[in-house]
Amino acid sequence: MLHIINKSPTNSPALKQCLKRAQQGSSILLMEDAAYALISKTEASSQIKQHMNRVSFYVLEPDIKARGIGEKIISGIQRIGYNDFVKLACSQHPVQSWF
Amino acid sequence: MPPQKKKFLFVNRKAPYGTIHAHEALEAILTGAAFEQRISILFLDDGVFPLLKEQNSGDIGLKDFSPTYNALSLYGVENIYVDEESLIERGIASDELSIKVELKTTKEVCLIMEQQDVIFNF
Repeated sequence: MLHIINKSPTNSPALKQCLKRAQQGSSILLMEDAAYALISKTEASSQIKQHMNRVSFYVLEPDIKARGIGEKIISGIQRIGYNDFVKLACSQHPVQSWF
Repeated sequence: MPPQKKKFLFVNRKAPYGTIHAHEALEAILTGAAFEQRISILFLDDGVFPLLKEQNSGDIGLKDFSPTYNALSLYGVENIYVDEESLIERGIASDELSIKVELKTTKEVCLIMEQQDVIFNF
């Protein structure tokens, strides 16, 4: 199963609400403002690190670049483009969006 | 052999009136029912608020659509689930809800989501 989040963690509880329900082996894609959750030394990225061994995390590279945070995000997150996004959504259904 | 019915899940996560999501979800559910698939609804997080009784939205100039929830069973909606923890977090008891629902734990909610063919988010 694929979970998609597009809200910043400091503006919306979507990340927290998703992490509470995402099951072992599911995938979480951070896009648009959710990319801010990956900035190192933040509460959100430390939460994400705690889940990295049971859930696969992805982030859209264009959203990272747009927001100028490429050098500021934690390592170990797969940075993907739109084509990979489509492949992910096709291979991991159903898709649940948290907005 | 008739085509295999798909499992549709409509997930409600927004409160009524402040945004149109809850009302739009209900419209989509009633439309979806016409396709005669296997429809379930899940009320989660703030999405439990539209189920409260005693709504009276006349003074804010918005239609109170909550009575329509009673019609869901007529539209062939199979399961109506509510995330129990979301009720507790918001100080709502199950007897304060306007319709009969199945209360689910967080674990059960996750499994319900994973078993769907298609999820519609509101």
